[in-house]
Amino acid sequence: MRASILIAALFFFGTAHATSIERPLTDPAQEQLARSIFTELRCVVCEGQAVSDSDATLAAQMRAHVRELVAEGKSKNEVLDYFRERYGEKILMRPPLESHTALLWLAPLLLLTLGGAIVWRATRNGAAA
Amino acid sequence: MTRLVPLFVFLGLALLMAFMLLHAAGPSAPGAATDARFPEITVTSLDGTKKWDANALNGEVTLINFFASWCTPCEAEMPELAALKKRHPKLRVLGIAWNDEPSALKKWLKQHGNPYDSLWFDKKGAATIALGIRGIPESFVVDHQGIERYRLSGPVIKNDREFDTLLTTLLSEKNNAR
Repeated sequence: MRASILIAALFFFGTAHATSIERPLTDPAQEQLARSIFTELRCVVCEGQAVSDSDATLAAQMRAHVRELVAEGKSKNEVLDYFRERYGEKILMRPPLESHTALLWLAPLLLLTLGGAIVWRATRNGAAA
Repeated sequence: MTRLVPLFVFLGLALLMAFMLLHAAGPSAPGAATDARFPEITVTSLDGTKKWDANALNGEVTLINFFASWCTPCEAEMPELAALKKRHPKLRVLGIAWNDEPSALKKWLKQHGNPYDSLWFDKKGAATIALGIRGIPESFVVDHQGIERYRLSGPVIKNDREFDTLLTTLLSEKNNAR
């Protein structure tokens, strides 16, 4: 029950009506920097979408917030750190390779190797029979 | 037996990954309070004339609830917020409306009851983002020293004994400190 209400809550967050809060920065260099940051941040209410590609209200508000931070003179890393401190590593489209994220990076390779080994073993056994 | 080794390795890896993913859930995992001072946030009163400052917490044990009038789970938790206020009369409940319209909000509170001691408005989502909120409703419990002691993603639910006990403890801390 609690899980279903939580899922419903996330759903509502994702589809809330959009607000017209997006105004490009007047400085083209700052606007370019902000747009490059949008592609590095994951939309927290979408599936695998960057903030740059999402129509969700929260994503639009995040873009506006990024622009504010950039206008304050924050660097790309400072803005990314701001979001990482609040939402964790998952907010980053490309989480850094660190000790606690290493398994997430290596898991596909490990699983592929393991799957390959199982297939190889099965075909070898099949050929032997 | 050796034929089962890949299966065990696979299961081991899957469990390890699940464990790591759960522990990388980030700061908004239920109950994962920062145990740090609740930050200054950018919200205004409904009419936009008053801004949030440290005095908003007023040295009281406070439940800060993010909600919206268009959010169905928020509607579902309104009776429980009212019940919390009845069980803990000294608990302050602050409501922060995210992405809402004051007129819709007033109408909605009239319809569903208003459990809030004061109402705030996060029109641009600045506070929502500053607190790392992913969905509403979401609530924070702040003690009388302004320290965030509990964070709840999702609605306040009926008969949550753990939550009730925490509130009782925090409110008694407040009384003992006097």
